[in-house]
Amino acid sequence: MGVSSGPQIALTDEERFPLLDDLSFLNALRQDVFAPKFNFKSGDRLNAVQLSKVHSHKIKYYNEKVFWNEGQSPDWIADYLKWCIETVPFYQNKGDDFNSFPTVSREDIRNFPYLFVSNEANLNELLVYHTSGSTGPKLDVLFDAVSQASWLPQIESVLKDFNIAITEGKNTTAIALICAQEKTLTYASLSTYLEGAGILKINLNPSEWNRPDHAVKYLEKYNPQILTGDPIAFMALLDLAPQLKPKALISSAMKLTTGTKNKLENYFKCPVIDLYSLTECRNIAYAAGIGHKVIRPDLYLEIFDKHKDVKLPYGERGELVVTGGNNPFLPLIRYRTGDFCSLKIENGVPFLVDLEARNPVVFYTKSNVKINNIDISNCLSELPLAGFKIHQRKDKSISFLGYSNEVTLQEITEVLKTIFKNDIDVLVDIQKISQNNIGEKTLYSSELI
Amino acid sequence: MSKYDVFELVTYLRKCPETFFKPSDFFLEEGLNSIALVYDTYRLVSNDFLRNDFKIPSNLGTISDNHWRAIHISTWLLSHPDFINNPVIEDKLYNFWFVELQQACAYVKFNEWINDEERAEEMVRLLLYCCEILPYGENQDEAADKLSSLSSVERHKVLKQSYEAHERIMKIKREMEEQKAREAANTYGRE
Repeated sequence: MGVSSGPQIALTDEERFPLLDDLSFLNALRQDVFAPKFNFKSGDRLNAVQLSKVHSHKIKYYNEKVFWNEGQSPDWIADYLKWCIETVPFYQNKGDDFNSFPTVSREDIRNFPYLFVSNEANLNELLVYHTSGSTGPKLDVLFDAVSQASWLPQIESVLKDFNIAITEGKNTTAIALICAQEKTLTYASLSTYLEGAGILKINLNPSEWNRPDHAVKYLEKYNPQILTGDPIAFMALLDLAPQLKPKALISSAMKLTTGTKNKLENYFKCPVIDLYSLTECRNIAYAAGIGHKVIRPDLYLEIFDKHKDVKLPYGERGELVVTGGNNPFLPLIRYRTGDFCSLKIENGVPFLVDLEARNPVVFYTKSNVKINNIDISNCLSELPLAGFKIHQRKDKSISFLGYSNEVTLQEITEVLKTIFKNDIDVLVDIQKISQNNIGEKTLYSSELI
Repeated sequence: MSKYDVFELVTYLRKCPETFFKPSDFFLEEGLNSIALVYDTYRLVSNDFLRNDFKIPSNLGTISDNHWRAIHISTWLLSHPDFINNPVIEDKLYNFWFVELQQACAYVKFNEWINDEERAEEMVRLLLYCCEILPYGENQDEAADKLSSLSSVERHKVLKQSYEAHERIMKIKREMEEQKAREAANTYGRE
């Protein structure tokens, strides 16, 4: 088997859930008459020591009120840098001054994942998350059960801001990760951290179910407390009109437009939280007021020039760069996220302002007036689009592809014409959202760059 | 000739008579009287031929054959005029013979101190370093750099570290291929 091979089923349920004695709810989720044709198995793999570490992370996520202030960096940076330099091969011989430490790219992690493993990491705890490369070349991300399960207390700290708590226990389904794709791994699982509560990863694609109506019946029967997924999957779910009563929807991986958020909130009658997270370090921030509010006191965020290893002054827009985390298999120092924003700190809590995935792209009207992709994003966000791609050709004409079940070609065309000051040729296409989409992030591209 | 010229001292060391290669009388009855050789060198350096109370280890029986022969060879080096009647280095020799040279001997066979030009220079520089003497024409940093680049102990340390780092990488790669690692763990949200 090669290093880049995909996920493997290799464990027993006892190994997947070392601390859970009663797996009856897991079997119920798997064997239900409406259950999908699950194609994978997964557990949280937490032993007692690891579980206690997840709980201590929870305390940290809940208790830290001031992350850092303008012109300062967190207290832990010096010790963290020293530890990285001493134990992580990739960071050795790069100096010991954080202020002049070079940035790390996704390419570095892709090419040398083993060099980012701390010498102190216990290799018996190594896990590999294989990304198939839907948003870029495939990548193996190394982590452990603790850093993976820490997703839960991170989310709990977000939900707390909405006065929402996840109910623990072995007879409730805590989380369902909803997908609407041609193909993805699906499984029923449990969370040791949530005292045996159910975890689902399901695909709405009808071919994954024994009968077309089973997806809705299954979800309604187990009524997950929290639904997670991307806007396209949520709009596909909305299309099925399930009678669910989730406490919250957590949307990530793609931009959540205000229009889509409003539609989902109106239907599900609960908050829809726009979460910013990365495979490389899990959750970072969620949309709140002036921007995305950072939730992780163990991360230090900086803004860098897109092309040069130069930190930009406070308030300037540039590439988001991350330091820290709790993964001994991938400790990050100045990791370039590929996402762009500016930082604003309020009462010691940083916000990511105007966060946009990927490179900033400048568009032009026919008479060469510059149009920033943020302006396009802001205007389109009012429409119930689950996602879109916009491309400018050499002749300056714009081709637009949106994912929506209700926005009309005319609406989009009008908005685009307004953004481009009625000085543009546009070609608009709308693709209906189905239960088996080929997921795409919102993309900006131009032949004029 | 300038004093403490490394080239000159290396040339002198490499002319060491074969009789210094002999085992110690701790190992062979007809071997060299190592204690007498060390004491004579102390006297030569301190220029005090009546003294008989020089510092030697209490556990002489634990010194290896290879280490004794290196000490013998080093006494030849210390018979160079640069070191004779040089009392300030007398109290530095214990550290040279029984600490620094002992460590180097773990990686250098006694005859290499003569046959291998780099090892000969290493012994010369190690002795000068222990005696806190700068080689002719060099400043402290240059002398330290050159000794570090020749040091068998340092070289072994680097090789060991790089071997261990390589082994660790190979182990990580093996673990990455393990099916149990690739089953990963629950994914709770899209990223």
